[in-house]
Amino acid sequence: MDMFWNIYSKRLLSSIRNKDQLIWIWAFPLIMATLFYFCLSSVSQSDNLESVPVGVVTDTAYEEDQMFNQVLEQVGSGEDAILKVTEYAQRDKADSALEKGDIDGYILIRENIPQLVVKQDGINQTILKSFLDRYVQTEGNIRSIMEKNPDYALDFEEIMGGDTLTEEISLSSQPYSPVVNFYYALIAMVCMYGGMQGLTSITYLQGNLSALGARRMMAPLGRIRVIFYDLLASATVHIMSLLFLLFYITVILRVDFGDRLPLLVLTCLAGTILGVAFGTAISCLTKLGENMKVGILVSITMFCCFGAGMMVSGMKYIVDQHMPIISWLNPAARISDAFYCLYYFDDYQRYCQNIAVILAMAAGMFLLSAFSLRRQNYESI
Amino acid sequence: MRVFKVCLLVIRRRMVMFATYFIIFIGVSIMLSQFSRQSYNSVFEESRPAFTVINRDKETIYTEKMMDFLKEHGTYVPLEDDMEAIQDARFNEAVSYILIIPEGFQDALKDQKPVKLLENMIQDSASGYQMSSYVNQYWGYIQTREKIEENPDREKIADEVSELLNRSVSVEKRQYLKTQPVSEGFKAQYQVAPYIILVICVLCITSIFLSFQRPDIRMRNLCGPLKPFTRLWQMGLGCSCVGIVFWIILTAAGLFLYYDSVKDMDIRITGLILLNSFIMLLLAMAVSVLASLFVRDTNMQNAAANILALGLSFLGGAFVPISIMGDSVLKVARCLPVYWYEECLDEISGLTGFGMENLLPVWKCMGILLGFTIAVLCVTLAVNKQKSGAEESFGTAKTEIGM
Repeated sequence: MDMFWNIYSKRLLSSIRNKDQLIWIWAFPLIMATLFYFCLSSVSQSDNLESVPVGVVTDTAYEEDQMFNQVLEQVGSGEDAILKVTEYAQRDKADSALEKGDIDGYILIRENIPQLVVKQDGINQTILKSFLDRYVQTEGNIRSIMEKNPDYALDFEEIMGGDTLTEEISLSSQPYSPVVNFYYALIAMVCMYGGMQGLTSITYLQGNLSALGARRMMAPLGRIRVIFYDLLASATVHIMSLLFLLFYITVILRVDFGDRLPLLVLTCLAGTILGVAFGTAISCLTKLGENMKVGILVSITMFCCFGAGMMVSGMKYIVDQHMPIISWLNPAARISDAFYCLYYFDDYQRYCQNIAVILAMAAGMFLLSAFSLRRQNYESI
Repeated sequence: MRVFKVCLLVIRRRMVMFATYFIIFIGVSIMLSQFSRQSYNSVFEESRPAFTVINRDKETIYTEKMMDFLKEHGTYVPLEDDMEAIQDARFNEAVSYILIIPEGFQDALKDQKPVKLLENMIQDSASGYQMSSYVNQYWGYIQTREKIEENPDREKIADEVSELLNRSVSVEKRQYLKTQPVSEGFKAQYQVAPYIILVICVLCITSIFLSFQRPDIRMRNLCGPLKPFTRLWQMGLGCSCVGIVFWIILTAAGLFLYYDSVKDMDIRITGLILLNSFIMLLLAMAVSVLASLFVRDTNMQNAAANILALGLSFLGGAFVPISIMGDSVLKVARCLPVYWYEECLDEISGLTGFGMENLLPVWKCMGILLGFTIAVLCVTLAVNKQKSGAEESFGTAKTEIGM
């Protein structure tokens, strides 16, 4: 027990005093989370429907078309108006407003048919076109109905589509949030950075990599026990950093991660074990210098986090759809997906699958490391 | 020119790290360009939101024609009728609009209270609204026809409605310049360029300063025959050369990658974009010199480079467009130089002429960016003066050799 406490406490202290790890595992994720919070908080409103600024040339053709006049007045008035109509007496003025970007397009009436002039493609311009298309189509619809059945009592609401045939449904008890995936991928990155802890532990246990390792190789202690105590301390420090990040995101930044807190902590724990196992495997399976191993670890982590959607939203889904095996083998994607399942799905089936895969990966990496370290000795150091 | 040569030597020794950053950046910008539309089209093209339709009712001519109609206005993403698959697609924005046709919907169209179609979209989203209105319009027309006919012939009704829905207004797309506007891929590369410019400049310049700030080297230099001004001048020249060479490589990479679209752009617009990025380079160099005064070892150097670059780029709108940032964030962003770089890039991309009235916002943004550069340089001089007189000016500067 004394030996356990001795190794465990010393490793804890050395991890906490490691400036490199303090920056990259503690400070950097907090900064990233803060940046995500400030910059992505309005992303969900980017596709919001707002009144489209449109111009209309009020020449004689427009004045003569009373029906279009009325429809335009109707859609351009009220609090939830689809269009924000500005009238221009001459086409030149409308054109100049379009050039300046004051309006997204302007409408002209030519031979009793509206025409649209725009500067660029876009959703607002598409809404304008679809409004005008609908106008001419509805006009044709009324005419055709009147031809077929002149006695039919036309219901204006029905014709204009006021009476909708659709009903909106919700797909989950949790609200849709386009930004939580970024936070999940960030947490997955920190989990994978647990590899730095595992890597440092092994470096300090290998005689050819550090003076401390050489000394510990000589000590009269079972190697498995030393490794276990050391890795346990590494995992303890790492889970502390992860829980702190989770606290920061959910309590300070108030990002909604759902209400399954114990399972969130369990996911962090599984992620930490996987991260530490990952670093241990990289350190054991390669015979390179420490800096090179860190480089490999960071590169693989970044690549995995890219697949988990840290840089591009929805990347995890794209990989899932096109390369499902790669997605299931990507540790960052599994960690991120476990958090996503906790947030979005009501059942635990997929969550459990993710946790099982994470733990299986960790066990596999630990086994590989153990085989590599087993009976290792040095001819000369 | 001994000091100048040493500057180049320091950079050469860390070339692998700079090259790694640069290659990753080019990779990311190529990837970003894949997400943006490549070629400019002089004909108006509708936005085509991604949608899916889950039909739990019969496959009829109505549903067939509805699919044809919706596919004309949106991008169809086939999904199986499985709740998890639908939820996944919706949450990951693979589809903007989901329509579920419930069983018995078509047969109940004539009823007083018809069965409702089920839909899901982002609340208040423009693309969702658009697709929903197409669906309502299509089924609304069908419903009216079913009601007015005694024995409705579905095939005839579907054909009539399709014909009606094929009517559309003409759209004229105005082009104010004779040349093509800025391509989205080229713009995307220059939108994220502040990140790589800042990272590389901070890493390069702090590497040079770190080498000269080692106490033993500094003390030796101070008692050497080289005048401090000459040494500083050569260091400045070294830093500038490195920065300019990097900028040339970045520009060459951009022009090479997007040659097809850049060759059709107005040369003045390309020139303004490059000028804007050059001013950004000057600012990055000024920021780097300021950072050099605080960086004491390589750990701090990497952290400073990444945190400064990510912070300024994120908040300035390099990764998330300014247009979708919240008002409170925008207030902070306006105090940061990258915001003005991005604003300038937007102004240049939207130029419709080259008169004074058109160019004034561009010059204003560039002027503010230059003002930031001068302000940072002034702060650097003040901090340097304060630090060089302080007791700790020969403090424990560490490099990888020193450690």
